[in-house]
Amino acid sequence: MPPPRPRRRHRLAALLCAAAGATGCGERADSFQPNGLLRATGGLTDEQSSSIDAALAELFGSPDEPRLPPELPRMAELCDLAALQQAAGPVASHEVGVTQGLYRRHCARCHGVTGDGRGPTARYQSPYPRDFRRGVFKWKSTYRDAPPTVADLDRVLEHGVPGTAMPSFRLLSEEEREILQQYVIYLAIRGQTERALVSLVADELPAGEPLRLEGDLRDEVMSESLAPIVAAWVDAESDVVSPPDSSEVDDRLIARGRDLYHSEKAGCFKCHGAAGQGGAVAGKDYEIDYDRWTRERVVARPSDAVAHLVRQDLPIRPSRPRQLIGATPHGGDATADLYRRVHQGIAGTTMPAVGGAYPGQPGSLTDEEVQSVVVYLQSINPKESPL
Amino acid sequence: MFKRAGIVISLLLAAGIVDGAGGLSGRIVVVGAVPPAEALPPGRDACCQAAGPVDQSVVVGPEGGLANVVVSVEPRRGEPAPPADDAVPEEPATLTNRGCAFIPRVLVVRVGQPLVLANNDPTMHNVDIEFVRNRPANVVVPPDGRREFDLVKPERRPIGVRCNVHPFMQAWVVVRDDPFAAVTDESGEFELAELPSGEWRLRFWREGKPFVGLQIGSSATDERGEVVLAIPAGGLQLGDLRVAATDLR
Ligand code: HEC
Ligand code: HEC
Repeated sequence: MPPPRPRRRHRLAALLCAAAGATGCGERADSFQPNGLLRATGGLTDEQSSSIDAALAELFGSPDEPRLPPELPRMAELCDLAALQQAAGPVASHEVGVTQGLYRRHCARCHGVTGDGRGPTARYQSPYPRDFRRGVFKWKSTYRDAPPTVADLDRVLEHGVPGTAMPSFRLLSEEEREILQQYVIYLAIRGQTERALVSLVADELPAGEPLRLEGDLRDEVMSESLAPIVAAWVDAESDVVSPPDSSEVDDRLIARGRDLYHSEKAGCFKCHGAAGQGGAVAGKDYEIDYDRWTRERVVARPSDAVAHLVRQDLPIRPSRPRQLIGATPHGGDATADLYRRVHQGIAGTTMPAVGGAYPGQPGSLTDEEVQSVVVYLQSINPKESPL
Repeated sequence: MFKRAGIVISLLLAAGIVDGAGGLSGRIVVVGAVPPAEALPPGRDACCQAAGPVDQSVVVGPEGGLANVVVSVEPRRGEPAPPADDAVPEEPATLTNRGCAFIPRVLVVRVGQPLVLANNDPTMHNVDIEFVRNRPANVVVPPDGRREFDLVKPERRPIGVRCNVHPFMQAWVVVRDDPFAAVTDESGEFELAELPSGEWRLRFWREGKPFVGLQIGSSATDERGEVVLAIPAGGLQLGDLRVAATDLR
């Protein structure tokens, strides 16, 4: 039985948009942008690609009309449909004090309507706005491979990311921030689903066969791929790295941290420089490394289609180990923040973990050693004012 | 020597019948001159400078054999899969940092088998593994250090491994839940000894990408590096599979 032809959704619009480059695309609001690069590197045909758009629209709706897939009941623990509806859609205010379209009003110019980090102003920022679609976040309290907790996202919205273009949304009501935080999770899970579906079509279906998300295949995709993505978000709370009770800070502890920072055991100096001056000074070798979001574009299988998409995209920038002195940490300067940063490294970036990868796994530094590195960092970069 | 198994075998398979010891082996050989491997800028670590790392994306043995090609069985949905044993090796599969290179460059590991990251260099390394279905990891492995990881699911593709302190270092990890993946050795040879007779979809990958257009008898690998082969009860010895040096880079 030949598969039915999937609906051709906005193919032309997507093409015109790709031709216009990253800028401007963020404003297209009636459909989410497909991850063109992912599909081209997976070698998908147009028909396969449209079948994925159709499946995503069926599961998650559109930027104007969000939907929660009924087969993923736990998503309701993360996102309330009414909240998503208020975050989605064009900016409007029908009732006094209630703003509709919060995401497009406050976030889309940087993060894009799709949450792909390619809004119209993205090009001018460094670092680039987060692409939510991988579900990978930097400034969080959880183990490296776990999603952030709700509290982590709330905190990013309340304080912004100091030292980057990500502003504080302290002036919004707590309720509005909560709605936006739920919408970020919705966009992330939608993006993670797109990735899972592309991999399914590219690596598991017979060549050229479009996706028909029904029957056994649908059940299997839901239980094997999508439910675990949602579960990781719901369970993030139980994946939090707990810093030890703050120990006495004395010169011995700082000296121990300094030794470790400069040792082959931790290797911090190799990226951040002996004086914490950052990668620009540490050497040109590091110029050629990239974070997760960028690396994909660097190693993409070269075909004309892929090369074209990469050229249209945000310019490729290497990742740079941060300057650690005289600069505000992006992820917070409290002891617990720095402890988590050093223990787990920074997800999505080249900065590795020295602690265990999950609770109970021994790391290359003990928790106490991590703590000593933290107090050393604080000693060379005293904080100016508390957050 | 290449034997195309007859229609009988295909029919047996269509009916899901698997018999005979089977087995698949062959050798991938490069034809034409391969330029010597380029030296990689070793960075600032003395031990890396001393080791003099070279680009290992094309490793060719003295007789022209091409190393580090992954040959695996990859049935698409709805296609028959050879029955796998569940004899998972207990000894770990180890990826060692030595001379500012990962050894081996391509490591095959079974789900349930411990994956160990080791470091024989006097410098620290970090090991950044972009797993998709398993937990991605990026951990520091100090000199003489050892980190151990559990793998819970097979990966659909070879997974890239890097060190961000020495970004020229590269390896690949192949995670399987069956014994049907092999890597060509220094002489270009590979063997899937346990592959039962039958008609199976094989995939050839090299350096994280499909090996496209590899001529195997009258067929060639497609855009996905795949080709369907019929393995007779007596096994299939593919002999030399030739690839032009100019097609490698
Ligand atoms: C002026 C541009 C800009 C606007 C407007 C903006 N962001 Fe961001 N955002 C950024 C940048 C840049 C980053 C990346 C920071 C980094 O990599 O450290 C970021 C990062 C984030 C992150 C990721 C934090 C992490 O832990 O990785 C979240 C979540 C986020 N923004 C949510 C939002 C939401 C929700 C809004 C709207 C209420 C918004 N942003 C508005 C620029 C912006
Ligand atoms: C392989 C290179 C590399 C190594 C090794 C490394 N880092 Fe980093 N580090 C980075 C990069 C890259 C960033 C910037 C990440 C970003 O914001 O995108 C960073 C950021 C940081 C930050 C800033 C966090 C913030 O909130 O802004 C701190 C602190 C830090 N590193 C400490 C350390 C310490 C301590 C060590 C040793 C245990 C270490 N790093 C080892 C690459 C490295």
